[in-house]
Amino acid sequence: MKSSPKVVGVIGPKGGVGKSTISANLAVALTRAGARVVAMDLDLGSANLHVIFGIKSVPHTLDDFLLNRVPSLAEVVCETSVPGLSLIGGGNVPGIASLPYQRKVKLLRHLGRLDCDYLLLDLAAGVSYNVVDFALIANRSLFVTTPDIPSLMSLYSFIKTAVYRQLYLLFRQAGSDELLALLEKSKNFEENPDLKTMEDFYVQARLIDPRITRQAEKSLARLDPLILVNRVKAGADLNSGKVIKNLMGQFLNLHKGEILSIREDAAVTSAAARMKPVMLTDPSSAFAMDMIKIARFLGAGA
Amino acid sequence: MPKTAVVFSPDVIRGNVMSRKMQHEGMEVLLFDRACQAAEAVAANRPSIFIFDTCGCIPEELRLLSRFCASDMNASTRAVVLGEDANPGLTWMRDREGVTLLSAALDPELLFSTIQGLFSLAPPAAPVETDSLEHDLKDFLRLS
Repeated sequence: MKSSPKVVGVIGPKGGVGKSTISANLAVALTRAGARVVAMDLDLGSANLHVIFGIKSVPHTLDDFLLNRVPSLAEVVCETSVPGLSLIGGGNVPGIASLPYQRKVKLLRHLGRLDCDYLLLDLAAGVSYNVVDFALIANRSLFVTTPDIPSLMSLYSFIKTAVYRQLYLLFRQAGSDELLALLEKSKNFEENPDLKTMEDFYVQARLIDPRITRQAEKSLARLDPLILVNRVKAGADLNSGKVIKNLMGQFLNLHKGEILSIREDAAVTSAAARMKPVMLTDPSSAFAMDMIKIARFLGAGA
Repeated sequence: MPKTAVVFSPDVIRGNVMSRKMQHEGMEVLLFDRACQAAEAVAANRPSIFIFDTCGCIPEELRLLSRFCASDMNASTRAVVLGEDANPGLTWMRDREGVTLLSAALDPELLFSTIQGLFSLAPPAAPVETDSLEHDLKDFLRLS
């Protein structure tokens, strides 16, 4: 029986951190380990994953499937020049940016039937629920950041939004208005300092409904993000991943997660100019080696 | 310092299940199968928590519980009563400060989770300051 592909979300809350470059090259690295990969451009409104592969236009995009212009999802999958790697181009229909949660789940159910080992989602920048929901639905989420403070702030805000979104969906499903109200209150921790950390929230939530709170804690304890610190130049840059992980533990009660670094490499700029992935133009570069390391981390070739 | 609990349960198995769970979580537990002995232990030891399992209790024990919570229990002790809200012997404790009613169905995880809620037993996360980057980030995120 065919197993479902492993869904990997690639998220870069701050634009320009190298998310699409990493998505494209990681997709190639996964194929080098023998995996069959579909890379999907969910950077809605500014889809450009195909450009990194030098594909000037894709015959069909995800929009065509969502708007029933094609009979099946397989119709929008296009082959690339890399053996084992296919691509689903992102569309530009505005409505898709506000897909309700259940439609996203349904879309991923369809995507789960694709015949591949990895489904790589190149998600848009920002902290909209459109992106957050896909990050929560994915089997594994990769958070791309650069070592600078604005990028780290965006990353922390994204993870915090994801935590609140997960709790909101759970409490809403449980029909607990009291917990939803407490959650809303906790968003403004400056006015409610007794709700500054997620542990503070749990303490008060347990008094409302210990059973649902326990479910929420278990649900969030499963979040296991992989933080990718891109454009690392010096040893001090490595610290940024640890800092985010510390904040996640202290304020969001998230204690899982790994950090991997991706070295700054001129080969990336050079490959972009040639509209090809670095994995193809310079497979022995530091960046390419780091992609292989991440692919192995994701279980490719195991 | 570990929190102390006095547990009363007329059912030895239920009492042991609850005690083991709390001991496993680092609490000190005194277990009794007679209500009067448990009440004496609460008065003498001033525990953080007094668990009173009403499952299988006789009316006399429920009356003892009612009297004890009303007058003899010290302010620093919280009572968790395992019982059903519909039990007429427990109507006295509705809205009573410092007393929490839990379903009589034995669920040690739920019990401990409730205790955590009352006392926030979970150890605070130890802050690990790596360098000024963390300070700066906390400032910008208004987490300081």
